[in-house]
Amino acid sequence: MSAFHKIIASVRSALERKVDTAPIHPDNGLAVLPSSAAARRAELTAQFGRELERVGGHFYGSLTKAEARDRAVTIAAETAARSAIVGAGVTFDADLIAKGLARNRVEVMRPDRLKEKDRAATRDRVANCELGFIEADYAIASTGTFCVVATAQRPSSITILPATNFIVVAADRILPTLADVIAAVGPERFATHRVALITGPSRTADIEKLIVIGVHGPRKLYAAAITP
Amino acid sequence: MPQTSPHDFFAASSAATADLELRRKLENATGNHLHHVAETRAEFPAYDTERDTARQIKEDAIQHLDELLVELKNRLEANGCKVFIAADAAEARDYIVDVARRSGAKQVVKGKSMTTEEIELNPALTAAGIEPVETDLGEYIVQLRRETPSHIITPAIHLSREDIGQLFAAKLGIEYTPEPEQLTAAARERLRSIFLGAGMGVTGANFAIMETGTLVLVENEGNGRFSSTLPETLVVLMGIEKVIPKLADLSHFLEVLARTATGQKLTCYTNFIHGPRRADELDGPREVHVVMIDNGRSRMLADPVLREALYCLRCGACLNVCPVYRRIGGHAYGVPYSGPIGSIVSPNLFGAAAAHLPFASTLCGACRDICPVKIDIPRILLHLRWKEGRGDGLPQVAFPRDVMRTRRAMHRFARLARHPRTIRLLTRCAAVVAWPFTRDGYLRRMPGAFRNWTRTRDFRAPRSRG
Repeated sequence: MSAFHKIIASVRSALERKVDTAPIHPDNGLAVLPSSAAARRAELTAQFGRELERVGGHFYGSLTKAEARDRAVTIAAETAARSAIVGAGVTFDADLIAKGLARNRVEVMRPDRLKEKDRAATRDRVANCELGFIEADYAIASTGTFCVVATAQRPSSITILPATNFIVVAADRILPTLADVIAAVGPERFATHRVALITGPSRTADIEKLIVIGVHGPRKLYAAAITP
Repeated sequence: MPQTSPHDFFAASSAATADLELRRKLENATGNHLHHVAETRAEFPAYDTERDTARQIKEDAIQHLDELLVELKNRLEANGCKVFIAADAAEARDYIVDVARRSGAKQVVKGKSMTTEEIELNPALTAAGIEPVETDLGEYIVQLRRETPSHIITPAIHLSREDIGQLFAAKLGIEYTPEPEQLTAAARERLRSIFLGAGMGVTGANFAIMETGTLVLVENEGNGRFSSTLPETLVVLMGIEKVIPKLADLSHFLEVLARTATGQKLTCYTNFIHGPRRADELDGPREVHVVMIDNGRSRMLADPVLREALYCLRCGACLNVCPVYRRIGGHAYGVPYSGPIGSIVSPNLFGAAAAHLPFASTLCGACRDICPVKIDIPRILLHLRWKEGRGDGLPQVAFPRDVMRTRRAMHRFARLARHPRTIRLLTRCAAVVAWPFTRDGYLRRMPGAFRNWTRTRDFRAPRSRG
């Protein structure tokens, strides 16, 4: 008997159960949620913005893609960013953002499928980027949270290493609650991808419970909802 | 294994209670926390419903723990993780140190994890010539002071900003400042290069989802994200009780966890780790090791009353409301898990060294009221006291002599109380003896050995009739 099975046997013996009794709890299910998210888009966007601002983010409201590109350029200028990393989009082509930044003399990095020999150099380049732009997969209105599913073209580093993040989300992907977003991403992607829920810039209250924004992760988080 | 005793606890708690500066810091920090928690909970009408649901899920999960663990292991392995189940702290430590050696890492970056404190991982890594670096700000501070955390989620709760300013000036060579922003920036700068160069990361896990084989790590600073994303090798250490059945269950826990732990709706980062990175991905470890540790948990599982303590989410809220913790802080407990929940789990994890802790409680019930999964902590503490009294499964506590005297007296009284006639007779005798000290039906001042009993309270005098 392996060590694992020995411990499972001791757990089973502690439970005093030799055979299966009742099934695992019935589906508690998702909270019953209104399915009219699309109809409530404006309301959800406003709620998302309010919540994000409460946790230290800066919300630009609803923007078109072109307006988002212009905002990205403004943020780069305001934060004196000379280099930026732009992750692949979910609902639109992020080339638009990358080209806008490049035209304004920001060195732009576009992550793609990586070869092992380039790993260290790529990591160093990302670490030196001052601005990270990414389109989130979903957002949670009730908490002001972005949900980002990582892929080779959308690495987690974008929302970890740069000091400033500009994260956008399609307005129709702002869902009311956490349970909605977890269901929308779905078990399959949670089993195969790194997923992060991001609620504001990184923070701590480890010194006298006083809140300080910007610990290891980004210090500034700008956000917008993208309208069609 | 922590080396402590009831004598140490009495000495440390007496000293802490007399330390007014420590009490000011604790009151300040825990008071701030309770204010935030009350605000956030008031804004969320479904809070109590979510608590009930979360508890129900935990009850079911613990009831089927064996099945869930087998399936979780299968899913994690299918995702590419290496799974090791450790019977005790030594097995877990040895495995992690071995992984660190094989990875060739000189430094190990650690996300915040109380389970690594439980197994005393840092001394083991150091002994193997590998430097563990705590990256949660609070943990980093206490590591620089060569201390242990004094709170489950706020490790440096016992320190003021001035204390930390002096520490950073001495250890990091920066100019003294008591400003939290500047102190945080100094730690950020120091730890950033360590993150980028570390060969191995170690984190805990708040939940493990059986359905998807996903580990969930909640945090605010980014230390968990960095530690689990940048190093080539990742070790996730989790107690066997952390497994939940389904992905859909998770939201019920996340809705209550941060609200109770920090007064936030959701922590800044919730990280989902499924396994190693794909070959073409930049981020994520090449190797993921998941260490599931028993270390006394199946013993707790075998006791139907104690089993409830395995529902704990380690939010730390019970510490913040506990009148004992708020006066003595975490270090007086002498074990990694302090406060009400620590007084329950520690005797089962650390044996004789913590067997006295169930007695370090006023049983006021504030911990039960704030618990996000409604653990009846006072009931479990009473159960542990009862077990200790019967010598049932727990080591006998070697209390100080005066406590033992009181204890023996109470045992004798308990025996007497089973004989009503004798009690009536003795009460009459006591009424005669106490008559010279009785004023208006009360004993206000007693002589000799009884003096302490009446020093701060009045007793109703025994009556010869009725």
